[in-house]
Amino acid sequence: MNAIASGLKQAVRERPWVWGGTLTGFVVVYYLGLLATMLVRFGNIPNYVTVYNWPRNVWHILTSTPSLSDAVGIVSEEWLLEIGYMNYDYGNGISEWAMNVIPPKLFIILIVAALVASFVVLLMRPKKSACAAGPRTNAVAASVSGGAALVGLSSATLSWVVCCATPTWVVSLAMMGMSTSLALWLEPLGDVMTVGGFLLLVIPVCLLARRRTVPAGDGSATFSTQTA
Amino acid sequence: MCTDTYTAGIIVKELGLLDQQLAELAKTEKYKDATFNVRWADYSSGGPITNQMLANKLNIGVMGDYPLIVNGAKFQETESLRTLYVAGTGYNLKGSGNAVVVPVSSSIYKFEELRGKEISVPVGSAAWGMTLKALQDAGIPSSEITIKNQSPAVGAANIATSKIDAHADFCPWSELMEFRGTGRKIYDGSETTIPYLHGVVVRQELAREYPEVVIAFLKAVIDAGDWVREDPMRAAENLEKWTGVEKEVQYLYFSKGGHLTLEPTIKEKWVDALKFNHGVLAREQQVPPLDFNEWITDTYIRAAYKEKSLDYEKDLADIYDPEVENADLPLEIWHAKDGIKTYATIGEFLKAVAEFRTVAQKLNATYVYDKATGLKLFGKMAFYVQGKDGAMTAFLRKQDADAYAGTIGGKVIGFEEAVGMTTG
Repeated sequence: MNAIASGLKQAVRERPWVWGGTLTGFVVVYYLGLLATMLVRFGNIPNYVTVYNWPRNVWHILTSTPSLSDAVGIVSEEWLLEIGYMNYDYGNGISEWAMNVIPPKLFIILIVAALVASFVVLLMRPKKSACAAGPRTNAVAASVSGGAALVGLSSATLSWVVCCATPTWVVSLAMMGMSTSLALWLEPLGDVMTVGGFLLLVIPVCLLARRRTVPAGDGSATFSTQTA
Repeated sequence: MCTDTYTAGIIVKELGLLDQQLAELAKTEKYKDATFNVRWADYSSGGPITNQMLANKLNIGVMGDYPLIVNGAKFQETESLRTLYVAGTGYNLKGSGNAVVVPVSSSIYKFEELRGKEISVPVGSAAWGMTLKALQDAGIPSSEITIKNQSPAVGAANIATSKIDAHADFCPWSELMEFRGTGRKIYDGSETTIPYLHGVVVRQELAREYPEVVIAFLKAVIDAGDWVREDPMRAAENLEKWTGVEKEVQYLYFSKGGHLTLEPTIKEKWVDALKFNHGVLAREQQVPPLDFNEWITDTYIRAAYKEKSLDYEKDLADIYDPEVENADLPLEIWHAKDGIKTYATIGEFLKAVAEFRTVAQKLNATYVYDKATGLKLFGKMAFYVQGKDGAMTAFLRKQDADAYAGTIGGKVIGFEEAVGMTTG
């Protein structure tokens, strides 16, 4: 464990700007990507933004919900930001679709971004020592990409009026054309996808980090065997 | 947006009916030092209302039958929170309010003709439940029809441009499409014979701690219904200003003989309908179980009736069946300048339309009643059967008109032809 932490620390310290830039870029690209998906799917440019007082709302929930486990569940659905499209063709307007920023989901995306950023800096050759053998880049990249995609999908917070306007990851499946019944049936799999996605992210990062601290020729062989 | 929620929402808000009740409450010992801060929120569907209620940001929610069930079930899924279904807001006994609409130029006239076609519907809504029931009744397996999930506004736009074969929706979308001349109903929710209703849910802790506030709210709901019944045209005109939905469509719902019966009692039939709807949701969307006995209570609405010296038992027993109640209602023309004009027979009604047209007088809308169901409909959307003696009968669906024409040896014609015939 120490070897992993030390390898990771070393790689991040060597390239803090690359790490920070990748982390920030991933989060920004992720949410812009969600917005772009809606934009392409529906062909409407967002026409409203609502910022919610998240801290106040969370405090209100925590102090007014008798059961802590209930409160935690409700807080996890609290919105911080809503960007969407309001349709004014009929009546005073209907929020047809929206992308929501929900802090607990944002936190998960930040962890994914941190892992992806770590992976990027770990892939780079250490500045102070020459590494003899490179890892199987394609395999680990596929694992990390797959993991990020899985967690990204299961953490998507889109809402659509046809799905009762409740933000959930399966709304993105429904919007992509999957039958809503099937999409809603898949909803409970979200947690499994998140855990699976994190495993695909964490394992390569740990192996790469450990490799940094292992003499050349030793760690690379171990790594190749495990990821092949 | 949904017309059935207005008497517990926009009307109560705009007329200050709750404020009046709360002012009365403030005169009582318990509330003499209380400050009431009422915050209203408007959502396009029930989902966000339930989320806001869970977060204790809303204490009272008003929504349609399917979202109500989701609300009750989601609360019962928690350890410490519950809602109570305390009253209805309005109903249609047969389920009218939901409907399937086709583009106005479509050659489809029957639900059965949708076999092999594409139909869009907001999944999870009452209209979706109606569509599933209609498919089941028509014996159309899901493999023979494509159901697309579509929001009301997008569905209406697709109907207007004939991009979809049919669209199913809840009130008042299908009537909006008819009024704007883009869509035509081929299936009315009344054919399912499952009542369509909306209701009020409150957080249990509010009801327990401040039952007088819940009762005050329900008294305001009763007052809102009275205000509509007192002058439906005034109500329709005001509702257009408040909601943006055309007054002529509002009138179809809120006038005498309209789609909506404004009455808040909780009838056994409603409970049965809600149980049926829960079954549909449980099958299709894995909605949690719902203990109806724990959820539904008539304590508060009974108290509201008592405080207003109204007879709850009488209203509870009274069920408005359009087929019976609307049979003798006069037909109506909404004259742009003179308001509502009534006519005893379809012949007189059509003749009046023709005469107004000859002098280029503007008519906002015309209303007739479907012979088969008693439902009120736009005159321009009805099918007319002309008997051998020249007498006219109006129908919502072409197949009903065809069948009736067959039995009396009559002829099925459209509105324009029917109006034309009166001028000879």
